[in-house]
Amino acid sequence: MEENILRVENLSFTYDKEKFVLKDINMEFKKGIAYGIFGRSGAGKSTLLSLLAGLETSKYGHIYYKNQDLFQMNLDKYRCNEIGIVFQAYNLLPQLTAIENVVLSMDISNLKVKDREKKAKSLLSKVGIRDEMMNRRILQLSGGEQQRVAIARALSYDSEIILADEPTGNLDPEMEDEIIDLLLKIAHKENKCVIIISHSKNVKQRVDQLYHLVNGRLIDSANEEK
Amino acid sequence: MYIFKNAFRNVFRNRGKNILIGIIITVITVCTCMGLAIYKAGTNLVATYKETNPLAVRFNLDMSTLRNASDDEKNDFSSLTVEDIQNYADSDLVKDYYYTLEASVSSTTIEAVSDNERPNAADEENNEVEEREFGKGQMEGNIGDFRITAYSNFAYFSDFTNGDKKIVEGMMVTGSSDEDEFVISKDLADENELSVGDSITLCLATDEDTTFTFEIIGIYQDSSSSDASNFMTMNALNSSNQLFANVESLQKILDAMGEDDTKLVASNGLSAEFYLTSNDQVDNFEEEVREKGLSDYYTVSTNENEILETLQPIQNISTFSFHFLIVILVIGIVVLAIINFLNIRDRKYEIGVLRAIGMSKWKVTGQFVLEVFFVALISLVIGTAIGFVSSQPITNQMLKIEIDSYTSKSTSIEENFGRNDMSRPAQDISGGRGGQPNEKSGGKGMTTNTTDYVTSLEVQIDLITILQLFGISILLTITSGGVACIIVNQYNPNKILQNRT
Repeated sequence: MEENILRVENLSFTYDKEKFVLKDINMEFKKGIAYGIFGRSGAGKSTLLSLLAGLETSKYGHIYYKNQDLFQMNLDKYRCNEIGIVFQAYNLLPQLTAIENVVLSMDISNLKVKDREKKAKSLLSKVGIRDEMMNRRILQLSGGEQQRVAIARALSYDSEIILADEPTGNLDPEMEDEIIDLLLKIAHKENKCVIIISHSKNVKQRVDQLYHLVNGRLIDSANEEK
Repeated sequence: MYIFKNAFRNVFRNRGKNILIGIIITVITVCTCMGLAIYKAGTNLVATYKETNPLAVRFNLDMSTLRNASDDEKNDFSSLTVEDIQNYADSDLVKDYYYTLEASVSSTTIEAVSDNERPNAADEENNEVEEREFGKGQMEGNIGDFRITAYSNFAYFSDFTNGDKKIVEGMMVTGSSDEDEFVISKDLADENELSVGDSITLCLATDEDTTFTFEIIGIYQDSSSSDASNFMTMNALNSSNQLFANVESLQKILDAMGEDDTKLVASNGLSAEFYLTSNDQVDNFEEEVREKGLSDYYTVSTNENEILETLQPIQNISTFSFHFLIVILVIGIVVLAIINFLNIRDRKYEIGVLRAIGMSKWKVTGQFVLEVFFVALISLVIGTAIGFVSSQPITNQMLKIEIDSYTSKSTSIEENFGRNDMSRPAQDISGGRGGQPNEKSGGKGMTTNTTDYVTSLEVQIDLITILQLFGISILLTITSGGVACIIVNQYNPNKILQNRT
């Protein structure tokens, strides 16, 4: 059986040391599976993603990446090499073109590739960005196109985990399907661990495994393979 | 390094803000360049001036020590003579020197300009002191109505070089002439209806039968406002009754007096001055003259303080430029820090994204600093060029003021003496070398060199200046970038991105 690539143990989190937004969370993630983390607004989904992405740390509990304590690792290196993050608001650099955004990500991760621009084009093409769009600045692209560029950026340095925070939150239903298809394809065909945080029913129905957060707690019944 | 690529790209992508930053850095660079150039020009001018204007070494009789000496010591003491001065001047350390002689004479053929002013209270007090020291009767008995002064080199006569006295007819006597000729004041000429070419007869104050006939070769006008030294209302101390003769002629009168007349009259304020080959030879010169017999009752001093006073305006300009430089740098750092702060605050989102995708704090900081540095580099080139162009006329203006003061002095010499071949040695400040007189002028010939003043000083923005400007730019960039560093390190990428969402 394949080893967990990411494991959450007894994780709690508080911003103000009084009210815990996450309480005693335990989770496991494997490669080749698309996970969905669901819950209402304020349930702690985004906080959990921030912790999994290494954007926050907690004194309560642990997250293990390949059996290494994440909070003891260099989180900059973790973010630029080990995980790809897709944000709801895309978070691309507007002064750069689509290609430049992807290449920058490869630059930061110091990816050993001869021609980064060629690879960036290949990735953008794979996520459905046409050639003529690749050299446009980000603000000249539609929301769906921007999200595709963000996915291409997350894939650019061959990380084994893709974290997507409400990736379809700003998209219309048709575009939502396309993005979900893309993420599932990445999980299944490229053997990556894809973790999608969402409250979309569409996503909920299509991911391989679900986690359900309610008021910062994980609901056991939700942790079932579909 | 990708941060160089990103920084360079961002400089052009964020043109608007960077042009603004560039303008500010250019202004700072221009001011810095000008400040540096003026500061350097000022310090160079001061250094050159000090190098090319030899100190005047003087011997001063220490009267208080002499008064306190025992009678035997007083009897052993011998005041300086012209021969002593010439002996001391005969040294490899001496470039030039001069001395003055003075005698008091009377005349039966011309009337002195009388001084009817009464002394004021302060003068009376001084008068009493003087009378106690010398005895008025004794002084008056030895003093005639006229005072004849001779300079071994009249180029050193400051009353004429400064313009207080001016030749209005004829010409000045020279140190090299041995003719019986002198120059009289316009007041005295008017009083006795004398003109150039006339001869007058003088006699000793103590012996009317011993006479000397001199030809008037020049008439001077005294524009000084008052004669403060004439507190005893003696005709001889009235500046209108002062006559100027050459050393040889005056020597005849002094010889006729039959006293120890070749001694310099230190109490009358007359003295000898020596100009050395190098200003750092003063101690060696003192050692040499002591060995040659200069009495311990004479102290050796220099006019260093006077020179420093002369240089004060330039040093003030230099100091002002330096302070201006510091103020500009401080203002530059503050302004750039504020602009950087505002710039970084505007680009908070970008910082959040870069940090979220794994770029370290230091690399983000480095990229922002590099962006400012690239702008600073371009501004440095533009600012240095503008600074070079604008600092030149300012420095020239500063120099012109200085040169004007020297030129006016030179003009005074030419106009006041009625000749243009009288000069002091080593007033050439053009090349760091002093003037080289053909022979030592004391008591003999005058120097024949003419003074070539610098009419322009090229401001050289040399490699050192460029490196200094470069260093200043780095200082500005790093200091203002430090602000970026502090701000970036305080940002939490997660919070930035969450707030935006």
